Amino acid sequence: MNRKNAPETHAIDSIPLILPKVRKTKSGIPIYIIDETNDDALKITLQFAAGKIKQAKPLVASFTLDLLLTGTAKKTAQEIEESIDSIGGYTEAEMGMEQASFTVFSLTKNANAILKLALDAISNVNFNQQEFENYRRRNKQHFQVNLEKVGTRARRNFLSSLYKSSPYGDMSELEDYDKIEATDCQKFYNQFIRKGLLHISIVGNVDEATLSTIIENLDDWKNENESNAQEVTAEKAEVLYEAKQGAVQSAIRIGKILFTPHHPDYMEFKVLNTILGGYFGSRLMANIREDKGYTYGIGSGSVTMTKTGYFFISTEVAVDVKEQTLAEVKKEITRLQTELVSHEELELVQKYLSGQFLKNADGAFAMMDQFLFLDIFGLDVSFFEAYLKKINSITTERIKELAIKHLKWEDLSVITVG
Amino acid sequence: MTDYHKFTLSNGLRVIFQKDITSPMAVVNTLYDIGARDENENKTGFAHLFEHLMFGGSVNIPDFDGPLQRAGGENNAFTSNDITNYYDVLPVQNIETALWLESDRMLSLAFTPKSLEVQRSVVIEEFKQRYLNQPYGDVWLELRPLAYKTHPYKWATIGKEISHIENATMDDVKAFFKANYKPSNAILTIAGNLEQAQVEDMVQKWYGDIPTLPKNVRNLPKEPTQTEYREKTIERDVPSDAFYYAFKMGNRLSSEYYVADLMSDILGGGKSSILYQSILKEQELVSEINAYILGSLDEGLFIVSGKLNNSVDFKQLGEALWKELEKVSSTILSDTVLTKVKNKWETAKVFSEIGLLHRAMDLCYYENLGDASMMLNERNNYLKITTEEIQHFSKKTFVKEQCSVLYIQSQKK
Repeated sequence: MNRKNAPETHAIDSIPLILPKVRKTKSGIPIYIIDETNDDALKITLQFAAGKIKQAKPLVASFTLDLLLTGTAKKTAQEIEESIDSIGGYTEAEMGMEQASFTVFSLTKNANAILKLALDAISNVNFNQQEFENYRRRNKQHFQVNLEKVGTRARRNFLSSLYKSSPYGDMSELEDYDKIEATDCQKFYNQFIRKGLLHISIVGNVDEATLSTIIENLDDWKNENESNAQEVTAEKAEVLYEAKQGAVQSAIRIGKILFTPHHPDYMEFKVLNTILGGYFGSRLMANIREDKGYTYGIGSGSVTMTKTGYFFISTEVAVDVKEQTLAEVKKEITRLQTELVSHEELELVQKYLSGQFLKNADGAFAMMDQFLFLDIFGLDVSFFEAYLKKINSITTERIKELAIKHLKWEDLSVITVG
Repeated sequence: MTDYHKFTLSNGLRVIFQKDITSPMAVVNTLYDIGARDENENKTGFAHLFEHLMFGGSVNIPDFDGPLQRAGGENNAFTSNDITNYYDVLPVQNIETALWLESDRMLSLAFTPKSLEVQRSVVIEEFKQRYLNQPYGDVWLELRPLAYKTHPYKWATIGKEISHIENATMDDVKAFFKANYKPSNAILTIAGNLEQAQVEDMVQKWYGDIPTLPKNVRNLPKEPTQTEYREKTIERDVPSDAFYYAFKMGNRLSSEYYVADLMSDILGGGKSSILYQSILKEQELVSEINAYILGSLDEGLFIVSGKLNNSVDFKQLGEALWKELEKVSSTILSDTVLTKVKNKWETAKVFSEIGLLHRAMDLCYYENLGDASMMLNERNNYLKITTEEIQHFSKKTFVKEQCSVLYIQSQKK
């Protein structure tokens, strides 16, 4: 046995993806179900077109979502929480730019009972004043804690710079906490939660009785809002710095508005991004962490929404090496624009991405996520087949071309805090 | 999924194989029985720094990450006060790549000066990012030495201070490897759609010739029984006052461990918990309150922590909190409350076992604890707990003489 030589590896040529079964509520909202699982876990998610860009006032969307279980005319928040907890249920609310979701986790055997409680609570929520005030006070404190983090500040400054004249860039401020009322939540709920149910997804061995509970409880929930997601044209890139006293690290965000998965360069850009900063062996990590030791971590990525998307580089570095870090990032981007990537590096990234793709579809939960990605963007499975093919056939010349086209330094906003 | 096969190589390496036909991926998880508690008090943070160095190339392979990524895989590692754990996740057909890489770094490292120099800086930045540049980030650097006076749990995994990391030498690194990274000190779990015979052959092939060295005997200084109430207040530039009550509790193998875990849910797990309902909602003293156990292998800590509302002071909080703790110590809880947290535990358990990686890590963890089969008894260990045991635990634990309190006072107020 020779320990110096790597064992032979084998290519990934297909992705075993199970697609969900589809049922419908009375008003035609799809229920996606993957029930080929071998455990007792059941996860049910209600997805709403009720993200931040829908709100007329800052904070309303997230307040509304977080207050869904805080009481009805017949039950207090405590009674609701106690009853769901007592049969082992967990709930989770997630707020995004365009969409929001409410998820119930339970054991299969308790799912029907938990859903009855949770759906009754969210169907009849009355946004009572006392719960609202409690939530407002607590959340205001959390907000203040988060603002102490250079990373949070940099992210806020970055998004409001990129999306200057669009709701995607609206950031809530401390004073907004005093301007919102419980009635704002009730209004948002009526319009965007009750009339913005996009779909329900279920992973686990769901039985007919539980499905009936969902269908009956949600029979008058609708999806009638027009999407207000907008295409956004890029603003002029900015260089912004915010001082933060006493910071021992500076947070850096660099990026620009990019594209959605429908853009013809989307798949190939994944390869370019991976080489630059998308995995542990990326050029940014190799240079700025593993060679210089400036940071614990640095990475890049692209975020996609239905009508817009953005590219970002993100890191936190020692304050005294902030300028050196920016220079090295610029150098790495320039290298990609002027030198061809070696075939060896490209091959490594292609194999890595194929393996990650297989991992991202491993198990019922992951498969549902993959399907929902297609669903949000109105794509079908051929997208994944095309993706695998594209990432494995891209040339080194094409990577250089994409770097020149999409990563011009003058187009990138550079935001620092610390 | 609880079936597994266990075998031991002649050099002492314990190996666990779990077959899973449903996943296209495989997991190789390696646990080394070495953590921050095994460090020299003047060279703390070393187990964790060493974890970083394990990616700096091994004796026959200059780069760890590249070949694994080329096989479509990825990896990571973590260090705690008790153990160091490394894992690789990759397409099952390429499993041998992970075994080749992991076995070579168990055999020996490359020990390049560059790797040490760079990882020292990286770890110092990690220290700053996670412990110094976050509001409340240095809590554990302060609370541990308050609660532990003798046992090495008195320092955090990242280390006592940055200078310990700055001063690490190549001789330290080599000595640490020799003492701790050897088959007898490791447990390997392989999970995936593989055959048992095939796994045995591959493991024998890659790990069989690693020299045999005796297993370490651990002899840590024992923490004397705490007999006095401890309290410390520090001022920091944070938005609100925060409190951390740390109570001494039993070790991971004591039956008390399970009682403590459930009790932490009863007191502070979620919105229907006792402290949330009473101190946050009814009395409106805090904006946040939690109870949890640290889950360490040696004698541990039961923590109640939170943040005060603006007009409230630490004294008011203390009075209200002790009142609740006295209540649970002097009365027997209803069965409904206990059943509730058992149900929640069961749901959380089922979700935590989803996926190869978590199961592989658990198998290593329980084998290190004594025997992988202990994993099978966990459900029973929790479900058999009675309300009397809960009360007994509370009475014994929630006393001032067992308590260390850290207050973080906001300079802004």
